[in-house]
Amino acid sequence: MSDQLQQVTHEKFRMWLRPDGIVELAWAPHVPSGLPDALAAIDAMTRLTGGRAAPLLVHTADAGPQDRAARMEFIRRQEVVSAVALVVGNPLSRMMATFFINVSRPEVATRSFEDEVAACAWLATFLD
Amino acid sequence: MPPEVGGVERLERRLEDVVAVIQDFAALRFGARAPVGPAGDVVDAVAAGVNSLGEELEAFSEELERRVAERTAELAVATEELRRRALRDDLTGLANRAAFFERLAQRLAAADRRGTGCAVLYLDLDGFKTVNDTLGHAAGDRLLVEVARRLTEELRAGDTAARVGGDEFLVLLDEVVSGEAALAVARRVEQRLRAPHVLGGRTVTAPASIGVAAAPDGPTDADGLVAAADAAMYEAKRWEQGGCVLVGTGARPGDDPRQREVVPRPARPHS
Repeated sequence: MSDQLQQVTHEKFRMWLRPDGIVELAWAPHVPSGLPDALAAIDAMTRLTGGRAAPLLVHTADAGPQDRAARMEFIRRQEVVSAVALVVGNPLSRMMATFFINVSRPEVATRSFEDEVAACAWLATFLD
Repeated sequence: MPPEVGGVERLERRLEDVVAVIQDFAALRFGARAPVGPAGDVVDAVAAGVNSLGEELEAFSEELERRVAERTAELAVATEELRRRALRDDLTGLANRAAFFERLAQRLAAADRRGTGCAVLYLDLDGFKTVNDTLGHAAGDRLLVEVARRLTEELRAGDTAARVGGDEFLVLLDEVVSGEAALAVARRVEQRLRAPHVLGGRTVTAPASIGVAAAPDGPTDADGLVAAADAAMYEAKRWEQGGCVLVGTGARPGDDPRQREVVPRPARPHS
Protein backbone atom coordinates (compact mmCIF):
# COMPACT_ATOMS: atom_id res chain seq x y z
CA MET A 1 0.00 0.00 0.00
CA SER A 2 2.90 2.37 0.69
CA ASP A 3 3.67 2.93 -2.99
CA GLN A 4 0.02 3.42 -3.94
CA LEU A 5 -0.86 6.81 -5.44
CA GLN A 6 -2.51 8.99 -2.79
CA GLN A 7 -3.43 12.16 -4.67
CA VAL A 8 -4.07 13.48 -8.18
CA THR A 9 -3.94 17.17 -8.97
CA HIS A 10 -5.63 18.50 -12.10
CA GLU A 11 -6.08 22.08 -13.29
CA LYS A 12 -9.77 21.89 -12.36
CA PHE A 13 -9.81 19.51 -9.42
CA ARG A 14 -7.85 17.75 -6.75
CA MET A 15 -8.60 14.17 -5.77
CA TRP A 16 -7.12 12.13 -2.97
CA LEU A 17 -7.51 8.77 -1.29
CA ARG A 18 -8.10 8.87 2.46
CA PRO A 19 -6.67 6.25 4.80
CA ASP A 20 -10.18 4.95 5.49
CA GLY A 21 -10.71 4.17 1.79
CA ILE A 22 -12.99 7.09 0.92
CA VAL A 23 -11.92 9.16 -2.08
CA GLU A 24 -12.41 12.93 -1.96
CA LEU A 25 -12.86 15.20 -4.97
CA ALA A 26 -12.65 18.98 -4.70
CA TRP A 27 -13.47 21.00 -7.79
CA ALA A 28 -11.67 24.32 -8.36
CA PRO A 29 -13.89 27.21 -7.22
CA HIS A 30 -16.26 28.80 -9.74
CA VAL A 31 -14.81 26.98 -12.74
CA PRO A 32 -17.23 25.29 -15.15
CA SER A 33 -16.45 21.65 -15.93
CA GLY A 34 -17.12 19.58 -19.02
CA LEU A 35 -16.50 16.20 -20.56
CA PRO A 36 -12.66 16.34 -20.57
CA ASP A 37 -12.71 17.14 -16.87
CA ALA A 38 -15.10 14.28 -16.16
CA LEU A 39 -12.85 11.89 -18.07
CA ALA A 40 -9.84 13.15 -16.13
CA ALA A 41 -11.67 12.73 -12.80
CA ILE A 42 -12.74 9.17 -13.64
CA ASP A 43 -9.19 8.37 -14.71
CA ALA A 44 -7.85 9.82 -11.48
CA MET A 45 -10.36 7.79 -9.45
CA THR A 46 -9.31 4.62 -11.24
CA ARG A 47 -5.64 5.35 -10.60
CA LEU A 48 -6.21 6.07 -6.91
CA THR A 49 -8.27 2.95 -6.22
CA GLY A 50 -6.66 0.57 -8.69
CA GLY A 51 -10.00 0.27 -10.47
CA ARG A 52 -11.89 -0.97 -7.44
CA ALA A 53 -15.20 0.79 -6.76
CA ALA A 54 -14.90 3.11 -3.76
CA PRO A 55 -17.09 5.67 -1.94
CA LEU A 56 -16.61 9.20 -3.31
CA LEU A 57 -17.02 12.45 -1.41
CA VAL A 58 -17.41 15.45 -3.74
CA HIS A 59 -16.94 19.00 -2.53
CA THR A 60 -19.23 21.10 -4.71
CA ALA A 61 -20.01 24.01 -2.39
CA ASP A 62 -18.17 26.57 -4.52
CA ALA A 63 -17.82 24.59 -7.73
CA GLY A 64 -18.85 26.04 -11.07
CA PRO A 65 -21.61 24.57 -13.22
CA GLN A 66 -21.12 21.21 -14.91
CA ASP A 67 -22.42 20.50 -18.41
CA ARG A 68 -24.56 17.57 -19.55
CA ALA A 69 -21.73 15.75 -21.32
CA ALA A 70 -19.80 15.61 -18.05
CA ARG A 71 -22.85 14.43 -16.11
CA MET A 72 -23.57 11.73 -18.66
CA GLU A 73 -19.96 10.51 -18.53
CA PHE A 74 -20.17 10.14 -14.75
CA ILE A 75 -23.41 8.19 -15.23
CA ARG A 76 -21.82 6.00 -17.90
CA ARG A 77 -18.76 5.15 -15.79
CA GLN A 78 -20.38 4.37 -12.46
CA GLU A 79 -18.37 1.21 -12.03
CA VAL A 80 -15.58 3.27 -10.43
CA VAL A 81 -17.71 4.31 -7.44
CA SER A 82 -19.73 2.41 -4.83
CA ALA A 83 -21.55 5.51 -3.56
CA VAL A 84 -21.36 9.29 -4.06
CA ALA A 85 -21.95 12.01 -1.49
CA LEU A 86 -22.28 15.53 -2.89
CA VAL A 87 -21.46 18.16 -0.26
CA VAL A 88 -23.31 21.34 -1.19
CA GLY A 89 -23.17 24.81 0.29
CA ASN A 90 -24.72 27.47 -1.94
CA PRO A 91 -27.80 27.71 -4.18
CA LEU A 92 -25.85 26.83 -7.32
CA SER A 93 -24.31 23.68 -5.85
CA ARG A 94 -27.68 22.59 -4.40
CA MET A 95 -29.34 23.05 -7.77
CA MET A 96 -26.58 21.13 -9.62
CA ALA A 97 -26.66 18.27 -7.09
CA THR A 98 -30.44 18.04 -7.26
CA PHE A 99 -30.32 18.09 -11.04
CA PHE A 100 -27.71 15.34 -11.14
CA ILE A 101 -29.67 13.11 -8.75
CA ASN A 102 -33.17 13.70 -10.13
CA VAL A 103 -32.56 14.23 -13.84
CA SER A 104 -29.34 12.36 -14.65
CA ARG A 105 -30.47 9.67 -12.20
CA PRO A 106 -27.31 7.71 -11.31
CA GLU A 107 -27.80 4.03 -10.53
CA VAL A 108 -25.17 4.10 -7.79
CA ALA A 109 -26.35 5.40 -4.40
CA THR A 110 -26.00 9.18 -4.55
CA ARG A 111 -27.07 11.80 -2.00
CA SER A 112 -26.44 15.46 -1.33
CA PHE A 113 -25.37 16.71 2.11
CA GLU A 114 -25.03 20.11 3.70
CA ASP A 115 -22.69 18.62 6.30
CA GLU A 116 -19.42 16.87 5.44
CA VAL A 117 -19.37 14.78 8.63
CA ALA A 118 -22.78 13.34 7.86
CA ALA A 119 -21.67 12.65 4.30
CA CYS A 120 -18.60 10.75 5.50
CA ALA A 121 -20.67 8.74 7.98
CA TRP A 122 -23.03 7.72 5.20
CA LEU A 123 -20.18 6.86 2.82
CA ALA A 124 -18.50 4.75 5.49
CA THR A 125 -21.39 2.31 5.25
CA PHE A 126 -20.23 1.55 1.70
CA LEU A 127 -16.67 0.66 2.67
CA ASP A 128 -15.70 -2.99 2.29
CA MET B 1 -32.59 46.27 4.45
CA PRO B 2 -33.55 47.13 0.84
CA PRO B 3 -30.90 46.45 -1.82
CA GLU B 4 -28.95 49.35 -3.18
CA VAL B 5 -30.16 50.84 -6.48
CA GLY B 6 -27.14 49.64 -8.48
CA GLY B 7 -27.54 46.15 -7.02
CA VAL B 8 -31.14 45.99 -8.12
CA GLU B 9 -30.19 47.02 -11.65
CA ARG B 10 -27.47 44.34 -11.78
CA LEU B 11 -29.92 41.77 -10.50
CA GLU B 12 -32.44 42.79 -13.15
CA ARG B 13 -29.83 42.49 -15.90
CA ARG B 14 -28.82 39.00 -14.74
CA LEU B 15 -32.45 37.91 -14.62
CA GLU B 16 -33.09 39.44 -18.05
CA ASP B 17 -30.28 37.24 -19.38
CA VAL B 18 -32.04 34.20 -17.97
CA VAL B 19 -35.41 35.33 -19.35
CA ALA B 20 -33.84 35.77 -22.78
CA VAL B 21 -32.62 32.19 -22.71
CA ILE B 22 -36.06 30.94 -21.67
CA GLN B 23 -37.51 32.84 -24.64
CA ASP B 24 -34.97 31.17 -26.90
CA PHE B 25 -36.09 27.78 -25.60
CA ALA B 26 -39.70 28.76 -26.33
CA ALA B 27 -38.57 29.36 -29.93
CA LEU B 28 -37.00 25.85 -29.93
CA ARG B 29 -33.46 27.30 -29.82
CA PHE B 30 -32.25 24.89 -27.16
CA GLY B 31 -28.58 25.80 -27.62
CA ALA B 32 -29.01 29.13 -25.81
CA ARG B 33 -27.20 29.44 -22.45
CA ALA B 34 -27.39 31.99 -19.66
CA PRO B 35 -24.19 33.34 -18.04
CA VAL B 36 -23.41 31.77 -14.65
CA GLY B 37 -21.30 34.02 -12.44
CA PRO B 38 -18.86 33.13 -9.69
CA ALA B 39 -21.19 34.05 -6.82
CA GLY B 40 -23.03 30.77 -6.82
CA ASP B 41 -26.06 32.64 -5.52
CA VAL B 42 -29.69 32.00 -6.26
CA VAL B 43 -29.56 33.83 -9.62
CA ASP B 44 -26.59 31.70 -10.67
CA ALA B 45 -28.53 28.65 -9.53
CA VAL B 46 -31.50 29.72 -11.66
CA ALA B 47 -29.23 30.41 -14.63
CA ALA B 48 -27.42 27.08 -14.29
CA GLY B 49 -30.73 25.27 -13.81
CA VAL B 50 -32.16 26.85 -16.94
CA ASN B 51 -28.97 25.94 -18.82
CA SER B 52 -29.17 22.35 -17.62
CA LEU B 53 -32.82 22.12 -18.68
CA GLY B 54 -31.80 23.51 -22.07
CA GLU B 55 -29.14 20.81 -22.39
CA GLU B 56 -31.72 18.15 -21.59
CA LEU B 57 -34.21 19.65 -24.04
CA GLU B 58 -31.52 19.78 -26.71
CA ALA B 59 -30.55 16.15 -26.11
CA PHE B 60 -34.19 15.06 -26.04
CA SER B 61 -34.92 16.97 -29.24
CA GLU B 62 -31.94 15.38 -31.02
CA GLU B 63 -32.98 11.93 -29.80
CA LEU B 64 -36.53 12.56 -30.96
CA GLU B 65 -35.32 13.67 -34.39
CA ARG B 66 -33.11 10.58 -34.61
CA ARG B 67 -36.02 8.30 -33.71
CA VAL B 68 -38.36 10.02 -36.16
CA ALA B 69 -35.77 9.62 -38.92
CA GLU B 70 -35.30 5.96 -37.95
CA ARG B 71 -39.05 5.27 -37.92
CA THR B 72 -39.52 7.16 -41.19
CA ALA B 73 -36.85 5.00 -42.82
CA GLU B 74 -38.49 1.84 -41.43
CA LEU B 75 -41.86 3.03 -42.68
CA ALA B 76 -40.42 3.66 -46.15
CA VAL B 77 -39.01 0.13 -46.23
CA ALA B 78 -42.33 -1.33 -45.07
CA THR B 79 -44.25 0.75 -47.59
CA GLU B 80 -41.96 -0.40 -50.37
CA GLU B 81 -42.39 -4.02 -49.25
CA LEU B 82 -46.19 -3.61 -49.20
CA ARG B 83 -46.10 -2.02 -52.64
CA ARG B 84 -43.90 -4.84 -53.91
CA ARG B 85 -46.24 -7.44 -52.46
CA ALA B 86 -49.26 -5.65 -53.89
CA LEU B 87 -47.73 -5.88 -57.36
CA ARG B 88 -46.13 -9.32 -57.15
CA ASP B 89 -47.37 -12.87 -57.34
CA ASP B 90 -46.22 -14.39 -54.05
CA LEU B 91 -45.61 -17.86 -55.45
CA THR B 92 -43.59 -17.12 -58.57
CA GLY B 93 -42.29 -13.63 -57.87
CA LEU B 94 -43.64 -12.48 -61.22
CA ALA B 95 -45.78 -9.38 -61.57
CA ASN B 96 -49.46 -9.88 -60.71
CA ARG B 97 -52.47 -8.87 -62.77
CA ALA B 98 -52.63 -5.32 -61.37
CA ALA B 99 -48.95 -4.69 -62.01
CA PHE B 100 -49.19 -6.12 -65.51
CA PHE B 101 -52.11 -3.94 -66.54
CA GLU B 102 -50.40 -0.89 -65.04
CA ARG B 103 -47.25 -1.62 -67.02
CA LEU B 104 -49.20 -2.34 -70.20
CA ALA B 105 -51.19 0.88 -69.88
CA GLN B 106 -47.94 2.83 -69.46
CA ARG B 107 -46.45 1.16 -72.50
CA LEU B 108 -49.49 1.85 -74.66
CA ALA B 109 -49.61 5.46 -73.48
CA ALA B 110 -46.01 5.84 -74.62
CA ALA B 111 -46.71 4.23 -77.99
CA ASP B 112 -46.46 7.52 -79.86
CA ARG B 113 -42.98 8.19 -78.50
CA ARG B 114 -41.68 4.70 -79.16
CA GLY B 115 -40.44 3.68 -82.55
CA THR B 116 -41.55 0.07 -82.34
CA GLY B 117 -44.69 -1.72 -81.29
CA CYS B 118 -45.37 -4.03 -78.38
CA ALA B 119 -47.25 -7.30 -77.98
CA VAL B 120 -49.10 -9.33 -75.40
CA LEU B 121 -48.78 -13.10 -74.98
CA TYR B 122 -51.47 -14.98 -73.09
CA LEU B 123 -50.26 -18.36 -71.83
CA ASP B 124 -52.27 -21.19 -70.35
CA LEU B 125 -50.67 -24.44 -69.21
CA ASP B 126 -52.40 -27.47 -70.63
CA GLY B 127 -51.34 -30.16 -68.17
CA PHE B 128 -51.47 -28.24 -64.93
CA LYS B 129 -54.70 -29.70 -63.53
CA THR B 130 -53.40 -33.22 -64.07
CA VAL B 131 -50.21 -32.42 -62.16
CA ASN B 132 -52.21 -30.91 -59.31
CA ASP B 133 -54.61 -33.85 -59.18
CA THR B 134 -52.00 -36.60 -59.35
CA LEU B 135 -48.95 -35.14 -57.59
CA GLY B 136 -50.62 -32.65 -55.25
CA HIS B 137 -50.71 -28.91 -54.89
CA ALA B 138 -47.10 -28.64 -53.68
CA ALA B 139 -45.92 -30.22 -56.92
CA GLY B 140 -48.29 -27.94 -58.83
CA ASP B 141 -46.75 -24.94 -57.11
CA ARG B 142 -43.25 -26.11 -57.98
CA LEU B 143 -44.34 -26.50 -61.59
CA LEU B 144 -45.63 -22.93 -61.67
CA VAL B 145 -42.37 -21.64 -60.22
CA GLU B 146 -40.40 -23.56 -62.82
CA VAL B 147 -42.60 -22.29 -65.62
CA ALA B 148 -42.10 -18.74 -64.37
CA ARG B 149 -38.34 -19.26 -64.35
CA ARG B 150 -38.24 -20.63 -67.89
CA LEU B 151 -40.57 -17.92 -69.13
CA THR B 152 -38.47 -15.17 -67.61
CA GLU B 153 -35.29 -16.59 -69.09
CA GLU B 154 -36.76 -16.34 -72.57
CA LEU B 155 -37.63 -12.66 -72.24
CA ARG B 156 -35.59 -9.49 -72.52
CA ALA B 157 -34.93 -7.04 -69.72
CA GLY B 158 -37.70 -4.63 -70.73
CA ASP B 159 -40.37 -7.30 -71.03
CA THR B 160 -42.86 -8.05 -68.25
CA ALA B 161 -44.13 -11.48 -67.24
CA ALA B 162 -47.09 -11.87 -64.89
CA ARG B 163 -49.06 -14.70 -63.35
CA VAL B 164 -52.71 -13.73 -63.58
CA GLY B 165 -54.52 -16.92 -62.62
CA GLY B 166 -53.89 -20.46 -61.41
CA ASP B 167 -51.97 -21.52 -64.50
CA GLU B 168 -52.39 -18.45 -66.67
CA PHE B 169 -49.59 -16.05 -67.50
CA LEU B 170 -49.40 -12.78 -69.39
CA VAL B 171 -46.33 -11.39 -71.07
CA LEU B 172 -45.73 -7.88 -72.36
CA LEU B 173 -43.11 -7.82 -75.09
CA ASP B 174 -41.91 -4.26 -74.76
CA GLU B 175 -40.44 -3.90 -78.23
CA VAL B 176 -41.42 -5.96 -81.26
CA VAL B 177 -41.21 -4.88 -84.86
CA SER B 178 -44.26 -6.90 -85.94
CA GLY B 179 -46.85 -9.43 -84.91
CA GLU B 180 -44.74 -12.11 -86.58
CA ALA B 181 -41.76 -11.16 -84.43
CA ALA B 182 -43.97 -11.51 -81.35
CA LEU B 183 -45.18 -14.85 -82.61
CA ALA B 184 -41.56 -15.96 -82.98
CA VAL B 185 -40.96 -15.14 -79.32
CA ALA B 186 -44.13 -17.02 -78.37
CA ARG B 187 -42.94 -20.08 -80.26
CA ARG B 188 -39.57 -19.94 -78.53
CA VAL B 189 -41.33 -19.75 -75.16
CA GLU B 190 -43.68 -22.56 -76.10
CA GLN B 191 -40.74 -24.78 -77.08
CA ARG B 192 -38.98 -24.01 -73.81
CA LEU B 193 -42.08 -24.85 -71.77
CA ARG B 194 -42.65 -28.04 -73.72
CA ALA B 195 -39.51 -29.58 -72.19
CA PRO B 196 -40.33 -32.06 -69.38
CA HIS B 197 -40.28 -31.13 -65.69
CA VAL B 198 -39.10 -33.45 -62.91
CA LEU B 199 -41.33 -33.12 -59.85
CA GLY B 200 -40.86 -35.42 -56.88
CA GLY B 201 -39.08 -37.98 -59.00
CA ARG B 202 -41.82 -37.94 -61.64
CA THR B 203 -41.34 -36.51 -65.10
CA VAL B 204 -44.28 -34.45 -66.29
CA THR B 205 -44.98 -32.19 -69.22
CA ALA B 206 -47.07 -29.06 -69.16
CA PRO B 207 -47.13 -27.51 -72.62
CA ALA B 208 -48.59 -24.05 -72.99
CA SER B 209 -51.12 -22.66 -75.40
CA ILE B 210 -50.19 -19.11 -76.26
CA GLY B 211 -52.24 -16.34 -77.81
CA VAL B 212 -50.39 -13.37 -79.29
CA ALA B 213 -51.80 -9.89 -79.86
CA ALA B 214 -49.61 -7.08 -81.14
CA ALA B 215 -50.17 -3.34 -81.02
CA PRO B 216 -50.75 -1.31 -83.07
CA ASP B 217 -51.76 -4.14 -85.49
CA GLY B 218 -54.56 -5.16 -83.12
CA PRO B 219 -56.40 -3.33 -80.35
CA THR B 220 -54.57 -0.37 -78.87
CA ASP B 221 -56.07 -0.38 -75.38
CA ALA B 222 -54.89 -2.66 -72.58
CA ASP B 223 -58.15 -4.50 -72.00
CA GLY B 224 -58.71 -5.01 -75.73
CA LEU B 225 -55.18 -6.22 -76.33
CA VAL B 226 -55.33 -8.74 -73.49
CA ALA B 227 -58.79 -9.90 -74.54
CA ALA B 228 -57.49 -10.45 -78.08
CA ALA B 229 -54.51 -12.44 -76.80
CA ASP B 230 -56.88 -14.42 -74.55
CA ALA B 231 -59.11 -15.26 -77.48
CA ALA B 232 -56.09 -16.28 -79.55
CA MET B 233 -54.91 -18.50 -76.69
CA TYR B 234 -58.27 -20.31 -76.70
CA GLU B 235 -57.95 -20.65 -80.43
CA ALA B 236 -54.53 -22.25 -79.95
CA LYS B 237 -55.94 -24.55 -77.28
CA ARG B 238 -58.74 -25.56 -79.62
CA TRP B 239 -56.25 -26.91 -82.12
CA GLU B 240 -54.28 -29.09 -79.75
CA GLN B 241 -52.36 -28.82 -76.52
CA GLY B 242 -49.42 -26.51 -76.92
CA GLY B 243 -49.26 -24.05 -79.75
CA CYS B 244 -49.27 -20.40 -80.62
CA VAL B 245 -51.80 -18.25 -82.45
CA LEU B 246 -51.32 -14.67 -83.51
CA VAL B 247 -54.42 -12.52 -83.55
CA GLY B 248 -55.48 -11.67 -87.08
CA THR B 249 -53.43 -14.35 -88.85
CA GLY B 250 -54.17 -17.66 -87.20
CA ALA B 251 -50.47 -18.28 -87.87
CA ARG B 252 -49.32 -21.66 -86.70
CA PRO B 253 -46.75 -24.11 -87.98
CA GLY B 254 -48.38 -26.48 -90.45
CA ASP B 255 -51.58 -24.49 -90.37
CA ASP B 256 -53.76 -23.90 -93.34
CA PRO B 257 -52.36 -20.70 -94.82
CA ARG B 258 -55.75 -19.02 -94.87
CA GLN B 259 -55.79 -15.92 -92.73
CA ARG B 260 -58.18 -16.44 -89.86
CA GLU B 261 -59.19 -13.55 -87.70
CA VAL B 262 -59.46 -14.32 -84.04
CA VAL B 263 -62.31 -12.31 -82.60
CA PRO B 264 -61.37 -10.90 -79.21
CA ARG B 265 -63.64 -11.91 -76.34
CA PRO B 266 -64.83 -9.30 -73.88
CA ALA B 267 -62.09 -8.23 -71.54
CA ARG B 268 -61.91 -9.87 -68.12
CA PRO B 269 -61.82 -7.62 -65.15
CA HIS B 270 -58.22 -7.04 -64.16
CA SER B 271 -58.47 -5.94 -60.58
